Amino acid sequence: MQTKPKMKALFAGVITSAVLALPMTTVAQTYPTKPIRLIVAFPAGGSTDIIARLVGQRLGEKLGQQVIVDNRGGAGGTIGTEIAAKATPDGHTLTMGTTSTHVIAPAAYAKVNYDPVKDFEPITLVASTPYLLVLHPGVKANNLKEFVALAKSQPGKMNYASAGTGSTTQLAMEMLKGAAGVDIVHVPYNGNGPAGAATLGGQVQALFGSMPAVLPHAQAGRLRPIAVGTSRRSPALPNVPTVAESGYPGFEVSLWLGFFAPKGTPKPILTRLQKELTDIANNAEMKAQFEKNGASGVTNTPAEMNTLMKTELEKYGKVVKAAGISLK
Amino acid sequence: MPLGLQVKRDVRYIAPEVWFVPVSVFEIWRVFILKIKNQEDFWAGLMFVGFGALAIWLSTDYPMGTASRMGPGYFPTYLGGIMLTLGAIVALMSLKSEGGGKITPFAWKPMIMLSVGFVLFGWGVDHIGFIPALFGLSVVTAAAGQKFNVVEVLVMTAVLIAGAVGIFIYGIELPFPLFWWR
Amino acid sequence: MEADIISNLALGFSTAVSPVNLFYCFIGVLVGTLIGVLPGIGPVAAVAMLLPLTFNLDAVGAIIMLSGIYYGTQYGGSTTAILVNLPGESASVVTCMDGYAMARQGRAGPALAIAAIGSFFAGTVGTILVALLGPPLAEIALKFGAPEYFSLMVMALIAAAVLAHGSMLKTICMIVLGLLVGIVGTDVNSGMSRFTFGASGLADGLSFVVVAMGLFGFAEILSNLQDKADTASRDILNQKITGLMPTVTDMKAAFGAIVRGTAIGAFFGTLPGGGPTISAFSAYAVEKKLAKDPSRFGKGAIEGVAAPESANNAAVQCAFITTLTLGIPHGATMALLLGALTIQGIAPGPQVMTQRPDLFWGLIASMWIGNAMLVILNLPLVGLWIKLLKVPYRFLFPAIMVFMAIGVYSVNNLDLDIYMTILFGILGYIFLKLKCEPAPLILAFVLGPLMEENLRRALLISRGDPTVFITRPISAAFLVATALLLTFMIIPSFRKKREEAVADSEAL
Repeated sequence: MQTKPKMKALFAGVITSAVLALPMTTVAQTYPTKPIRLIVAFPAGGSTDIIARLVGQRLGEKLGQQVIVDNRGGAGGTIGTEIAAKATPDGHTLTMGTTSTHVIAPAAYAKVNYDPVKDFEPITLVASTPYLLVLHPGVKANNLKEFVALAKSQPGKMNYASAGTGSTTQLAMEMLKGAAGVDIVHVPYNGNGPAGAATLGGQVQALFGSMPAVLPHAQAGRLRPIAVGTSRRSPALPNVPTVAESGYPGFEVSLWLGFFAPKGTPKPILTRLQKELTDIANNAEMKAQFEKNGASGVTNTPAEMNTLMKTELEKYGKVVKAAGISLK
Repeated sequence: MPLGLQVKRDVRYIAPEVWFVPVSVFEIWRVFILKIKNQEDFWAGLMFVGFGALAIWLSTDYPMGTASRMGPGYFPTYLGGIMLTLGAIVALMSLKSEGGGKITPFAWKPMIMLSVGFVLFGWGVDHIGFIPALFGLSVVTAAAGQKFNVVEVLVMTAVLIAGAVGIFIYGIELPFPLFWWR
Repeated sequence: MEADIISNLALGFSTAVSPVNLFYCFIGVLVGTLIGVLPGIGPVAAVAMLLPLTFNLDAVGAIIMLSGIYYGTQYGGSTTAILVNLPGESASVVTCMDGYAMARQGRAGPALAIAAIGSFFAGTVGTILVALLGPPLAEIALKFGAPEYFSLMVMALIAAAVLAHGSMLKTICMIVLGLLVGIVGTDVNSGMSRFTFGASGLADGLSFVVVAMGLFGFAEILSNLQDKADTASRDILNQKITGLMPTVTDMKAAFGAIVRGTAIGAFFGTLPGGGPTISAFSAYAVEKKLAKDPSRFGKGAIEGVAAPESANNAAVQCAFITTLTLGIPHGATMALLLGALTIQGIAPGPQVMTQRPDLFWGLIASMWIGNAMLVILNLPLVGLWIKLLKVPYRFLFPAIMVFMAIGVYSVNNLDLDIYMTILFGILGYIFLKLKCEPAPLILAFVLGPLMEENLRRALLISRGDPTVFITRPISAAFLVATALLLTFMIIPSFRKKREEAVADSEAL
C-alpha cells in the first residue's frame, strides 16, 4: 500500500519524461501550433488586463499565432491563477502573474489551491508599478518624517485608506506603520478609485496608493506626495524621495507583473518565450506604453523571479501576520 | 404488570406514535392551510421566514461586533431578524386577508429541462467545447416546449450554433475551445 | 466663460466630425446595438466583448468608437429589456416593468421609440450640462463621504418600495431579501467571505448579470412555457402590433416624464456608485406619484419607460465626468471604458482637460454624436426588432437561453455563474407564483452592499459615534427626505383606513 504513491510517481515520471523527450527536438521549431491562451486572473479593463493585452498582442505577432486573453477574475486573482496552474503544460496556456496572485494571495488567504513557486515555471517580469504615499493637502506634514511625527503625537486618531483588506495598498502602509511604530487606523475601500476619492475629499488623511491611480491627482496638486515605495525615485516625480531614503532603509513595495507557464512546460518553449517577452518589454515603444499606464518595463530571469517570489512571500507573510489579516 | 389487563391487539391496530404526526399534519393541511384564502401571501410569508432564519443561522459564523464597531455578522443578522419578523407578519395576515388566489401548479418539466440545458452548457464549455455544449443546451431546452419536432429542432440548433460561433468565436474572439480537442 | 465653452465645444466637434471619426462612431453604434440587442448579452458583456476592436485605433478614433459602442450597447440593452424582459444592467430593471408590459400589449414600437427619443433628449441636455459645469460638477462627488452615501442609500431603498404595485409589506420583504443577496461575497470592511458556502467563485459576490438573467430571463421563460396549448400562444403574439411610432398622445404623456427624468438623472449622475440606477428608479417613482392614475404603472404606462430611460442617460452623461476627472468608475461598464481609455494613454484625472483638451472635448462631442447616431440608426430599426417578436416562441426561447448562457458565462468565464443563474431562475419563478416582484430585490441587491459598507465605514471613521449621520448637513438632508418619503407613503393608506373606519361606523 505504501509503495503505491511512489509507484505512481515513478510511473508518472517515466511517462512524462518519455512524452517530453519525444517532441523535445521538434517542439521549439513547431511551437506554437495553435492560438495561445493567456489567462488573466482579473476582469477585463483592469490594470493587469491592460498590460496583458498590450504584451499579448506583440507576443502573438512575434510567435505567428494569436494570443487570446482569457479573463478569469475573482477572489483576488486566485481563481484564474489556479486554472493556470492546472492547465496543460504545453506552452499554449500562459498566465500573467502579479504580486497579488503569486505573493499576497498565498500569504493572506487561509487557503489557496496552488503553490506560487512549485506549480509554475516563471518566464520573466514585464512591468512593475510603484506605490506612492500621498496625503490630503490639509494634513500638516510636508514629508515622511513630519507625517510620522504627527501620527505619533495622536496615536489612533488618523485614518488611512486602502483599496481593500489584504490589498498591496494596505500591506504597504502596514509595513510602514510597523517600521515607524505608529498607529493609524485602516479604512478599507472597494478599489483604488474610491480610496483615491476618499483621500481627495479628506475623508481619510493618507493613502499608499497605486501610482497610476494617484499620480494624476498628485501632479494636479490635489494630493501631496511625500514618498515612493520603490527603491529608486520615480521619473514621474523626481523630487519625491523614497521611503527608504527617508529613514527606513530596505523598504520596498511595488506591484510587479510577469509571465508564468504551468509547471512542466518544455524548456525550449520557455526559453523561446523568455527571449520574445524580454524583447517586447525592452522595446522603447512598449516602454512608453507602460509609462502611460503608470508602470515601467522590467525584465529578469526565471531564477531571479523565483528568488523574488521567495523573499517577498517571507516579507509580506510577516506583515500579514503582524496586521492580523486572514482572508477566508 | 397484571396479566389480566393485557389488551388484545387488533391486527389493524397502529400505534399512535406512528400515525399521530402524519395524520395531524394532514389534518392541519386539510382544515387549516387549504382553507387559507390567500395562499400566495401565506407561502410567500413562510418563504421569507425561511430566508430570514437561514440568514441568521449562517451569520452565527461571523463575528457580531458592536453597534458602534460592527463586525461582518452584524448587518446580516439584523437583516435576517427583520426578514423573519416581516415574513411572519405576511403569513399571519394572509390568514385573514381576502383576495390573492391559489397558487397555479408548477411547470416541473420545463423547469428541469431548462436547468439541465444550462448545466450542460456551464459544465460543457470547458470540458467538451463550445459547439457540443451549445448543441446540448439548445436541444434540451427546446425539449422543454410543448411541441418537439426533431428536424425542426436540429435545424434551429444548427442555425443557432452557426450564428453563435460566427459572432462570438470569429467575430469577437471569445476564448472558448470549439471542441474537446480545442 | 461662455466663450470658453463655445471654443471648447468647437474644438471637440472639429475633432469628432472628421469623416473617419464619424465612420468609427457609426461602426461603434452599429456593432454595439447589434451585440447589445442579443437577448442575454447586457451592456457589460457587450462592451467587454467589443473593447478589443478599439485597441488598434489612434486615441481619438478609439474614444469615439468607444462612445459609439457604449451607447449602442446601452440602447441594445434597453431594447432587450422592453422586448423580452431581460435587463442588462440595474437601471434597465426599471425600464422592464412598463416597457415589457407595453410590448405585451403590442406597443413595443412606441416603447422602443420613446426610449430612443428620451435618451437622445437627456443626452443632449447632459452634454450641455457637462460642457457648462463639468469640473465643478465632479467636485460634488468629493463632498460625499461614508455618512452621506449611507443616508443616500437609505433614501433610495425606501424610494424603491414605491416601485411595486402589489402589497407594500411583501415589497419591503423583497428589498430586505435583496440586501441579504447583496451580502454574498467578501466583506469589504473585514475581508471575510460571507454566505459563499466555501465557493471561491462567490468571493466577489454574485454578479448583477447572474441575478438579473435568473430572476427575469429564466423565470419569464419558465412561466411562458407553462401557458398551455402551443407555446406560440404567448400573449405577446396574440396582440396586434399597433403602430411603430408613438402617437401624439403618447408624446404628450411622455414629454413631461422625459424632462423630469433628465433633471433627476443630472442631479444623481455625479455621485459615484449607483447614480444611474438611483436616478432611473427615482424618476419612475416621481412619475408614479405625479400621475393622475398611478395604477397604470407596471401595466404599460409610457411615462414608465420614458422617465427612467431619460434619467439613466442623463446620469450616465454626468457620470462620465466623475469617471474621467476622478478615476472612479460607476459600475462595471464604466470601469471597462476607463480601462480602454487607459490603454489609449489617457490617465483619468483632473489634468485630462488641460493636457489633452482635444481628447476631452472630442469625447464629449462624440458622446453627443453617438447619441444622435443612435436615434438615426435605431428609429428605422424599431420595425426590425418588432419583427423578431413574430418568430414563433418555440424558436425564440431556445435562442434566448443560448444567448443568455453565453452572456452569463462570458462575464467571468465561470461555470458557477451558470449554475447560480439556474438557482435564481427557479427562485424567480417561485416569486412569480407568489406574486412577489423581483425589481425591488434587484435594486436592493445593487445598492445594499454600498449601504452596509458605508454605514460601517462611517462608524469606523467616527470611532463609533452615530451622530455623524445627522451632524453632517448633506447626510441629514437625505435622512429628512427619507422621513418625508415615509410619511407620504404611510399617510394615504392610513387615511384610507380611517375613511373605511368612518364609513363602517356610519353604516352601523
